[in-house]
Formats: sequence, structure tokens, C-alpha cells
Amino acid sequence: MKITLSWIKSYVPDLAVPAQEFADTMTMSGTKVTGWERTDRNLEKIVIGRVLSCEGHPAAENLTVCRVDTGSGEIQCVTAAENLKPGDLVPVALEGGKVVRLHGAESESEDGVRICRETIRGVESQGVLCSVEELGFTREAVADAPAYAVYVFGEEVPIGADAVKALGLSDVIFTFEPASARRDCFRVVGMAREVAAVFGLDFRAPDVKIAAEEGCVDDYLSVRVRDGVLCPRYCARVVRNVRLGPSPRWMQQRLVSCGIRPVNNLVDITNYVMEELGQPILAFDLESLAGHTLTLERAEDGHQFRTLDGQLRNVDAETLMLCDARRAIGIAGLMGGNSTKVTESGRDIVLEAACFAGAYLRRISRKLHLRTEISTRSARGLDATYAEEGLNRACQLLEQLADAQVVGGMIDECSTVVGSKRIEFHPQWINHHLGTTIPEEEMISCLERLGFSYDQENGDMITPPDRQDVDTEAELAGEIARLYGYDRIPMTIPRVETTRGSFPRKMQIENIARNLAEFHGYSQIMTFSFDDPAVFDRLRLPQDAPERQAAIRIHNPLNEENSILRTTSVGHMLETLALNARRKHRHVRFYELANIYLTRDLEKNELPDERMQFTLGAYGRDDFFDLKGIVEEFLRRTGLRKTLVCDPHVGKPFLHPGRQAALVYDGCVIGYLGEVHPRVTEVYGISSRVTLAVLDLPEIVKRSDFTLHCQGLNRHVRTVRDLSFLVEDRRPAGDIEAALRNAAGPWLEKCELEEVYQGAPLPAGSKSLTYHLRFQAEDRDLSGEEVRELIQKITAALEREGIRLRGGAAGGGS
Amino acid sequence: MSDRLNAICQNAADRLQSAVNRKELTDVRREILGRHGALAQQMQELRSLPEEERAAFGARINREKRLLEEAFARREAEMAEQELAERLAAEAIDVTLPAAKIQDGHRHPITRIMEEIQNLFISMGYEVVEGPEVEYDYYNFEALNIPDDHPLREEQDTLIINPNILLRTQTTPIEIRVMERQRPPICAIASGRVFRSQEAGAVSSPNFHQIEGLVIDKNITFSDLKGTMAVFARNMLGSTRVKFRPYKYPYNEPSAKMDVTCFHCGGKGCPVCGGEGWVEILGCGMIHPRVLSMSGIDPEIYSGFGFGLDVEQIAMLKWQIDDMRLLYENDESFLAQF
Repeated sequence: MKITLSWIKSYVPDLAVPAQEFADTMTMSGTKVTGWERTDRNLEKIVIGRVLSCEGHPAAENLTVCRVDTGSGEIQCVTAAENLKPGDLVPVALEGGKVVRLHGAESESEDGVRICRETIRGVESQGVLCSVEELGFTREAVADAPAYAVYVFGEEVPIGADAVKALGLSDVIFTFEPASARRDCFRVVGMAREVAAVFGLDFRAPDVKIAAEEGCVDDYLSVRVRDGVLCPRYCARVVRNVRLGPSPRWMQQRLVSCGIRPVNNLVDITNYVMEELGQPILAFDLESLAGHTLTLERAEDGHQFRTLDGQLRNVDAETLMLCDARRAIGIAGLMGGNSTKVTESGRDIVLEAACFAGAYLRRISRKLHLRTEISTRSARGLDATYAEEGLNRACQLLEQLADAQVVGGMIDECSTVVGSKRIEFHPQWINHHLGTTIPEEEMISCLERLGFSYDQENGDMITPPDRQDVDTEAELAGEIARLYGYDRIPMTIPRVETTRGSFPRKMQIENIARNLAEFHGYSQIMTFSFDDPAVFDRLRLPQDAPERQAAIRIHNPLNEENSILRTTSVGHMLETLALNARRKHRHVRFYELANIYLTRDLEKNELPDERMQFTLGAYGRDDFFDLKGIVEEFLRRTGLRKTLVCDPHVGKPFLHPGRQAALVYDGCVIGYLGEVHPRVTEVYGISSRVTLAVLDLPEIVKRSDFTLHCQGLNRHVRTVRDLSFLVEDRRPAGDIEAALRNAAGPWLEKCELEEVYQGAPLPAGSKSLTYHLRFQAEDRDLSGEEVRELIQKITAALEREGIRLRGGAAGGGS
Repeated sequence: MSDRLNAICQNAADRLQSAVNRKELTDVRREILGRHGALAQQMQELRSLPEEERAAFGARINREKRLLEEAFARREAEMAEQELAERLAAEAIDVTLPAAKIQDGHRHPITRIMEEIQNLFISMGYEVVEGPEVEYDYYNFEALNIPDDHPLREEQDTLIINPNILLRTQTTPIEIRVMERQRPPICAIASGRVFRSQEAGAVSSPNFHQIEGLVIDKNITFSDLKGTMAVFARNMLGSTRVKFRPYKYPYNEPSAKMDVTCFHCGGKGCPVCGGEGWVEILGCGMIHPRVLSMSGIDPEIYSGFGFGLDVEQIAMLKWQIDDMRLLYENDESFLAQF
């Protein structure tokens, strides 16, 4: 929000601080000043001069040579302007002075242009007669400025005086960023009151007084509000015989400083009131209102309305329409229609000041993709108290600046107006809350500066009517703290009853996952929680796949690619691998720890099931078994000590049908692992083989166990044997190991697969598996005889399952 | 006989020296000292000596045998030493060849920041907590003293699922859940994803992370908040100075924004801090009594403070990352820098 210093000063006349100090002090009191700039930054030595004579340039017919009285002497200036005559009062930039830019230059220069004595086509020029552009302003800021010509003062001004000041162009524009809850600071008077309070100066509110009123508004207009929830207050007044014309320069300059283009006195006054008092005002031509009535009611579904900007827009029952006796004339709170615009002088005008529910305005401007200055301002929430004040101010200004006659009385359709509130005031509690020892009188003084009043008898604070953000003692404490100065409040460390710092188990497990993955060369990625519904097709998931069924659609997504909450982590992992493949990374190992979101029962307002997924993905070096190793190690570190079973029948359509496994622990699927189907890698544009593992962390958290079981050290003799078995080559190694362990019993302390061999001299269709076995008893040293017997028992048992010992027992030693 | 013994010993000594490897040495040893070796034979032949000479000559053979054994052992050790030296020489490697690829993975910068902050607060006795990312409107707004018509709802463009369920726009709802669940004293820190309806750009993302802290007990004051935040800034960012600016959160009163001296320029003013010398890093405040009582904590007895910050922003400031999209693009060359 931009406000000029001069505008603030009109309410706080004693304000006199340097701009930087002003900005810092305001920032530290809670109103951030994000920047400020002097409007006369590059203007130096520019005075008012009187043109004494104008003569044509002897060598150039489009130039004029003027003699000018500058108050401190007579100088000669050459100019291209053609609008000058002797006697004119003009701004003159003297030798050694500065202007923002010179006539004809495209853009302003950062540091302005220094004026020096020069000779133009043989004639000396000792200064520059300035146009408003040379002074850095647009003609909008100075309404009476002629086009491409030297500015000529319309009134009598003293020769030799500062021309920039005389033009009212010497000012500072501050950019404020008030907290959104401080509605009062989004109007200039509110900000001025804040400034006065912060600097401890007097605040003079604008004196809203209408000189003469005639007649009664009810004879001209009737208003009905059919929805008091969407529109808590609707005020209207009538003014007659409005003379349209330009508004005065001070008003135009203030509007321009806020970034608003001046139009005419009527439009400028409504805009001015909006800036000054924060109340949007709409003006309608009374005669254009059929039946001289205004009704606010919800539109019917499927209707359309053409707004002032010429667009035809769809409206529905959520939209509040402003109607006359025949038709809709505007969308309440957003924009009027063309039919009621005031276009000529002498008309009678209805002025509206309404307050709409902020939530309604937000909804409607989003739905209609219509954001106007009015809707943005109103969506922040309007204060119902602004309406009356704003309306009267507009009437006053129209009376003063457009010769209007104000009709007596105001229509006020009002369902709720919350004005001042009483709040209990306990200085002791406030000091306790803040950790301070601020004296009671200082607290009261802080609050009174902000417009509060103290009821000594009851010990209550009474809030100003436009501070709806203050309604408990906590806010009083906040107001006191910021005016007292946050930097004066001491710093202490809380003395809390002892608490123990800790991580929840789930996060401990995530931490194990991170450490393990990174140890094995996997880097962490982060992707969005959103997904593209097309991901399911890319992953070849059938229509009835749970991933599709569980997906939740975002009601107002940013775009289709981000329109659902992801139900699988695979899509983003593959996209990320693909991106890295495209960028020529040869080996990539990534992991992600992030939620998927599975719908429960949205109808019954149940939140989705958020399941943390530990996803590993790699191409280049690591294969299925590398990932299987990481998975097994992860389970061991999280205390899942039983054997992990890899079930090849997982049925994931996006994985290689012969290289995928469901990870089954204790009879329950806790994840899956596999190589990505070549059709899928093709869709993602990855040419190498990709391996993936996905672990469903809630299942692991549930079973995790961090208790450590130390078994001491078994010092009895160990015996090792290597045994090779011959089986048909389709038989899974898992079977053989299970049979081995089963047959061997507790003496088999360790069993490791040493080698898998196929080829000569083995018969075709068979393979040899060599296991390294280590035997040890808990209670005694095993004898050679006992081990021999056990091995016979094992081989016999395996023989029965079609697993034949190859070439007898090998290896040995103890 | 004696000459014969002398010859054997001399021959043994010569061959011992001339043996070129351990096999040859073993052969010589067997020939001389073995069970059927030359010395054993001499012992056999003792019987042919006259009775009175036998003892003396036998002793002599034994002495010679011991001396030879020692000599063999010496020579064997010498040879072993030499062979080892030769093997080691042959095994020399080119130490300038490149190292084996031992490559640890990298932790994402966002996680690094979150862990750093969590660890700091854990050391101060805070418990790490979590909350759902898809949240009820009640927890995200209403319980935070943000009614339906509050301007903050306009500021935080919310992605919604249905009228009651939304993607949380801040981690603050976790504070409410903790307050509902636990009795004071509470010292909690929470972190996680939050979502806003804003396009991904250089300084914004529809999906980002926040960290939230909460302390509730008897006698907690605004000055405690200031002190705690100063400790945080010093430890996390090494910032020497902090500035508390009044702000206005509906759920905190008084509330503040904390600025720290720009860690890039140290306060002189640079593009990172927009020339201000200060960067805003977090919002904080005393928990509004209304929020406390809505969550079942008696504001007459307890008070507390909360604070929250955007993780991406800290990461970007700390490592001078100029585009937030880099954090979600996941290019290996970028990730490998952390």
C-alpha cells in the first residue's frame, strides 16, 4: 500500500522525521515499510521564472529563444516549446541544477540530468524551461499540464520560489505492508492514526460535515437487502445535480501516488474515499434505476450478466446481484453494469456504501475470475462501521467539488454492526504475559494514543470502532507491547518443568532408512505430494487397481498434472530417474521418504490414510539383489528379525513379470521390489534397466523392536562343511535353503549360499548350489561323528524333496 | 671315520650356502640330517669303532649335528626373509591409480535443515511430533482463531478436498493437535509438508515445508519467546543480531516476525537480503488465550508460545539457492552438493 508523506501529514500535522527514521520506526512498531522514495529525488535548483520575451531562433525555425526573470537575475533559454508568451510563469532549471530527464529522452536516468550552460545552434542557453515530464511526472499527476510543452502556472506564484514545491510535487511515497488483520491500516486515515500513535503526535481525523441537506432520501429511492448474511450492511444516499469535471490537483496527485488514474471528479471522489476511509463507493444514475429501487438478492443458477468491463459472465445462486425493479445492474461487491453509469453532468446520483461478507467476496471473485480493486479490498473484510462514514465523506466532497446538492437522510439496511467493545484491563496480567514491568499509566497512554479510551470506574478499555481485530486482553497486551517497543522487552529462557527431548518411533525408523540408504550410495529426493491422474496409465495399472480407486481429487487443483494426491510413490521416482538419465547421469541411486494418501471415507469426513513410503530407485549399477540386500539390512536394523520371504507372485503390472517380488514378512506384505517393466521405462524415456523397492513404513513401524538381545559368546567348537546340491534349474534357491535349515535344526549356526553353477558337466536343465554351513552346539563341543550324522540326516531329508547331494561332503576342518 | 665325518660336515656347509631355494635346502637337510641321512649313517657306523672311542666320537657326531641344525635354521630364515622381500617387491601397486568408488548418498537440503533444527530443540528438551498433511478446516483455521471471513484465508490460497477437509497450509494445526492430546508442560517441535495454491516459481512452491515449535507451561512469557528464538538464531544461523518486529497472527498475541542479520552480507546489505541487511526468517508469538481454551487448556493457569518457519526459505538463504524449483527438481549434480 502506497501513501505519500504529505497525505499522512494532512492528518498528523506535527510529523517531522527523516524518511529513513520514519520507515524504521514504523517497521518496528508493526507496520512494515518495504520502501520509500522521494518524488523530487533528482530535482535541484528549479525555480519559478517569468518569461520576459520570446523570439524565434535565428538558425532554427522550430526553436524559440526566451529571456526569463528568475528572481535572481535574467537568463536566456532556448526551448522547443511553442506554447510560451511573455508574462508566463514557468519552472526553470538553472545552471548546475538537475532534472529527471531531458525533453525527448526515452527513459529517466538513474541519477537525473545535470543542467549546464550550452550553445544551441549558435545561441547560448543558460537554463531549461521545464515540462512536467522533465520533472519526472506524468501529465496525469499535473492535470493542467499541456502536452509536450513547458508547464505554465495558472495562478500567481512568486518568482524565484521553488517550482517543485509550488507544483506540490515535493513529497515522499512510502510503501507499507500492514498485517492483513489490521484492516484499519489499509485506509489512509487508519494509517495516519497509527503513525500519530507511534510517534506520539496529535491525530486530526478528517472533518466530515455536509453543509446543506435538502429533502429526504426515502422520496427518491428504496432499498431492500434479501440476504443479510452475505450483505450485513447496505447504505445509500442521493445527491442531485452533480457537475462532472476534473477533480482538484491535490486529489489527483494523491490518487496517482496510490497508482490510481484520475478520471473525473465523481470517479475520483469515490476512489479517494476508498483510499482515505477504506470504503468502496459505487455511484449509479438515479434515473437509470427502474422503479428507483435497489434490491440485493441471490442470482438464479444459469444466468449471465455483462459487467462494466464488457464481459458476459455466468452467475449462480452463490452470487449476490444488485437489481433495480426490472433487471440486474451489478454483481454485489464486485462490479457494476454499464446501464447505470453516470455519464453526464446535472444528473441525480445514488451513492452506495456496502459491507459484504469477506468469505463471499473471496469465493465469488475466484469463481468469476474477477479481481477488482474493490473486491481485493473488500475480501480482506470490510468493517460495517466504514459504510456510513465513507458515504458521508463522499457526499461532502461532491458538495464541495462537484456543486452537488445532498439529499437529506441515509438509507441504512443493516443487520449487524459491531462497534466499540469493552475489554477488561488488568495491567498485572499484561506484564505477566509479556514478562515486563511496564507501569499502568504507560500502558494506558499507549492505548489512548491508538484511539482506545479507558473507563477508570470499571477498569475497562473501550476499543475504537474500527479495531475489530481487538477483542480480548491478549490483543491489548499486543498493542501495548508494540508501542512500548519489542526491543525493550528482555530475553529470558523458559523455566519449564523438565521435559524429555525425543523422536517418535516412526521418525527414528525414517532416520534409519535415510542413514542406510545414504550409506549405500542412495541420495534423497523430494517430490510433490500431488500427482497426475495419467500416472496410472503410464504404470499400466488396470481400472480396478487400488492405486486408482484410492486416489483423492483436489477440488481446486493448480492444473491437471497436479490434480490428485498420489497413491503411489513410483511415478515421481521414475520421473526423477528419467530427468537424470536425460541429463546424462550414468549411474543414479535415489530414495524418497514421503507419504501416499489413500482415501478412507471422504463422505463421512474421514481424513485419508497417510502412509509413509520408503522408495528406492536406481539405474546403472545396482540390480535387484543390491536392493534386496538393502531391504534386508533395513529390516534387521529396525528389529524385524524373522526371515523375509520374496514372493514372486506380486502382480505389479509396472514391474518386469520375471523380476519382481512381494516382500512378505510374518505373512504380511510390507512392500515390493523389482525391475521396472521395459514398456514402462520406455514411456518414461529411460533406456537402462531400473530397479525399484517400495517399503510401506507403517507396517514396519508396527513390527519394529529396538530392544537388543545380547546372547553372550558361544565358545564351543565350530565345524564347517561346504555342501553342493543338484536341483532342476527352475527351483527357487529359497526352497532349498528353507529345507536345509528345517532339516538341520538348532546346530546349524550359519548357512550361506556360496555358489550357483550351471553348465558342463551338469546335466542340462539343472543347477548346482553350494552352501557353506557352520555347526555349533550351545552346550558342548560337537564331535566329528555327531556332525557326520547330522549331515547324513540333512542329505537324506533333502533327498526326499528331490534335492540331491552332489559329489559327497566336501570341505572340512574345525 | 673322523675324516669322513669332516667331509660330510664340510659338504653340508658348502651345499647349505649354495642352495638357491628352500626346496633345495630341505633336500640337503634331509640328506644330511634326515632319518636315513649321512649323519644317521655315521651313527650306525659307530658300532664298528673300538669300544673306548665310541663315546667320544658319538658325542662329536651329535655336536656336529646340532651345529648343522642351527646353520640350516639360520639359512632357512635367511631364505624366507629373502623370498618374502621378493614377493613383496613383485606385489608393488601403482598407488596413483584412481580410488575405488565409495560413494555415500546425499541427504536432501530440506531434510538437513529440518534435522538441524530438530536436533537443536531436542537438546533443549523438546519432543518431536507430527500431524496429518491432509487436515480438517477446523485445525488449519478455525481452532487457530481464523474464522471463515478472516483475511488470512485470502492470503493463504488453500487447496481443498471438500468443505471440511483441505491440504494444510501451515504446520500450526499440529500445535492444536498436541494441545488437545497432551497436558502441560509441553515442549514440542513439529515439521512437515504444507500446501498452497500457488504456482511453482523461483520463490514459491505449491508444496513446501515448515517447522513449528510450541511451549506451554505456567508462567511462560513473551520474553521467554524472545530468548528462545535468539538461542535458535545463534545456533542455526550463527546470526549475531536478531530483530523482533511486531506482527499480527490471529492465533498469537502478541506476535512477531523475527529478522536476523543477513548471513550473506552480515548486515551490510546485498541482493540476498534485498539491501536491507536483515532477512525475515520466522513468525512467532504468545498463543492466543482463545486458542488455548479451544484446545482444552486453561488460559488462566497456562500460557505458551509458538513459532514457525519455512524450511525452503532457510535452505535457500543458507546455501544461496536462487530458485526454489531446484529443491524439487532432484538433479543428481545438485543433490550431490549436500
